[in-house]
Amino acid sequence: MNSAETSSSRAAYDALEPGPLRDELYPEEAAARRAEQEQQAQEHTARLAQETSEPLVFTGQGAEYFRIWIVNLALTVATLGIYSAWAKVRKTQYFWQNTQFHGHRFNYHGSPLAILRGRIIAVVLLLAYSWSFDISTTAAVIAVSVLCLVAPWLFLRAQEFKLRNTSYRGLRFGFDARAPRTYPLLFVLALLWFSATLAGLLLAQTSWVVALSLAPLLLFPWMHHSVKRLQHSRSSYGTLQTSFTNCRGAFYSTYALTAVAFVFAIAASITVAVLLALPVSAAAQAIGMEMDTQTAVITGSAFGGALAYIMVFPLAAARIQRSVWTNTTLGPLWFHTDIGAGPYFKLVLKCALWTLLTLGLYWPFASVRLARYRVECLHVKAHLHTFPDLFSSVQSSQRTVRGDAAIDLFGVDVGL
Amino acid sequence: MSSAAESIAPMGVAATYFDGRTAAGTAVQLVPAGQRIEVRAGAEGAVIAEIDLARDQLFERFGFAPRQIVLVSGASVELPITVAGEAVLASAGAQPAPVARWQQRWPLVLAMLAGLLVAGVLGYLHALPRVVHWLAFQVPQPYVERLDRQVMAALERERLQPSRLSAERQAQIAERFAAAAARHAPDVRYSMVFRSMSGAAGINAFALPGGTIVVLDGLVELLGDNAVGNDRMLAVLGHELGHVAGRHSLRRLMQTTAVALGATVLWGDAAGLAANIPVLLSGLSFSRDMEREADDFSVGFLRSNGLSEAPLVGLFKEFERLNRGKEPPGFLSTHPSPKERQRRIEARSAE
Repeated sequence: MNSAETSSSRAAYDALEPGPLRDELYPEEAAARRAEQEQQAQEHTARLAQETSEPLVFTGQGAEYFRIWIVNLALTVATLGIYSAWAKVRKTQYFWQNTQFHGHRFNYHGSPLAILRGRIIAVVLLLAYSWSFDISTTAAVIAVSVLCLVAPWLFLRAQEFKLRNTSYRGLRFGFDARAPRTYPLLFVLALLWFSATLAGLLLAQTSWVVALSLAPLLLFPWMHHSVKRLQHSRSSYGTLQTSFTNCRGAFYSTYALTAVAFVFAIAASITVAVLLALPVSAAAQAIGMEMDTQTAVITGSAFGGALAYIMVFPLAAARIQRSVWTNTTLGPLWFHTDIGAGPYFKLVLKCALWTLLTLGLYWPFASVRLARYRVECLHVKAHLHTFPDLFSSVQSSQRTVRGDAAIDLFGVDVGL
Repeated sequence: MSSAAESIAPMGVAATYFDGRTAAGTAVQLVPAGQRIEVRAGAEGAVIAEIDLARDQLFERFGFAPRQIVLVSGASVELPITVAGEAVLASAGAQPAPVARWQQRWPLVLAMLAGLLVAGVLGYLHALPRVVHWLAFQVPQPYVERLDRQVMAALERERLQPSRLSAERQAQIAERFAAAAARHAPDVRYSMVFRSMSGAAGINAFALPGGTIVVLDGLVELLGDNAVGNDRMLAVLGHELGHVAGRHSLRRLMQTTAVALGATVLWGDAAGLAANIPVLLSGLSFSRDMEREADDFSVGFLRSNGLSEAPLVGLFKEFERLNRGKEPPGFLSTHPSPKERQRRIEARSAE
């Protein structure tokens, strides 16, 4: 059979009406056709299963935010702090409206009055809390206990307020703040957080207080992981739910690494302080200041410790971000972050130095640079077949309308 | 409204419409229709919604981020920034809020910055100390006395031991001080206790918010039981009484809290550590001012009792001899250096 013959019989096969008769007349062509179809289907499936990655984009400008920051500050000062709730809304709107994904922007809908109400209640609670320590030990123990009982509720409401007031493509994000399943865990976390305070109030012996303060320190990675798991497993966007894969090991290794790095940074800064102490105290004496080497070493070490904190904190933050986002999914979507300890560290250091050198005026520029880095490091990943129908399949969640009024009644926006 | 808007009106501007039920977006045209804006979709341009800015929420413009409009129906519209788009919004009566206009103007923003700096400096130097001073004297006496008892209890648990001084020596100091205090400031309520503390910190005396003056054995022993030493002891107690009379501890606490609050408003979002630097430095500077105030009180106190400032000056000389070379630089210290305090007192007496 030559090729001309093959193509002519194939042409005849293709010309016939599809059906069993045609397949009987040209069995070879039919088999070839089936193989072709199967291969096409496989290729299609493979192509659809390919991953696609889409970045988030941040379009904020330092100079623009500087002006917003100054106007916010001026009005906050002029109104003795009352405007701070409006300032918070304006600032959050600026950052969300400048965050873009898939061609569209996010938005923030928090009500300034709700935030003001929340802030007044928070200030009253805080004053009552600190006042209780002046009244008596019993009052302080009661205040701490009440705070431990209330804190989980506050935390859930704050999460809910934040997410329910954030929107994208006309749909709100959400947070499942129903307490029964999470309240006990959050209560335990609050107790651990305040364990040192409670121990200080209830126990006379310093050694016990120290021991009880160290326990939460060892448990801190677990506590941090629990909070992140809660945030990343109970959030939603319309009908899409987030889920979170536990990664306690990553949290523990990050904190262990951070602790080691911190010890090294402290040791290094003390060494430098000791090495510099002699010339510095000599120089100080030369210009008429009285300073002995001991003071120079202590002062140098204090600054070194602060520097060590600035150096080590971005390392931990970058690693935690990585662990958290790579273990989060939102419906058919998952995430990837490029955040790196090195670049993030350099950025934080630059921002900190410029802010200090300009006596704080660089702060709005720093906020924008940090936000850009954190936002643009994040990529949303999906299979190729997910995107075309994704947005039409996401629906508004049922509870939105009913819940909005209740949420705006009391806007907890404490930075938890 | 404007002629620009009317000339654009028939064409409309491209935007995206979200119905609020799903995340799917619809490409639409926004067409001005009097005070309203029609949202038209599809080839035929069917009106699927109407924007009425008296009812619907137009979000503020931020740079070149698209305008966002949320309708009362729950639907929303995202409109890219274009001249035509802004004209359509203006035709429907959209006007930027005053704050949104201020944010656009550099000269105004810089004027506000200058105003903030002036207000900050004046407020910090003049208003804050006065407010704090007034506020400190509003705190009821029983409350501050209870505070003292708690601080004493904590100190006794951690650092302080009972005094080893004889009862006669304690009574001698206390009686002389009581008589002197009654002469200079009969209204100031105080109580005096003797304790001891190990180490270099044991050569000291301090005042608590509610008027408790704690004298440590180390100081009594350093000054010695002789005419010069006893006068110097009176100078120290006069200084501490100055702290009590001025409610310095409470004022320092209030001042620190106020500055911390200010720093949080300014840079509070993330820079926890950096935001604490002004609090620390201002607290220390405030503390040095209070020491100077207490020194002045002590001079007045000594004069009321027929003495000169000499015992106080002698005291500073003694301290200087004691901590030669152990002082941190001025701005990092809670007290001015003894030398500076000595010079200051001498200069003021010379006037």
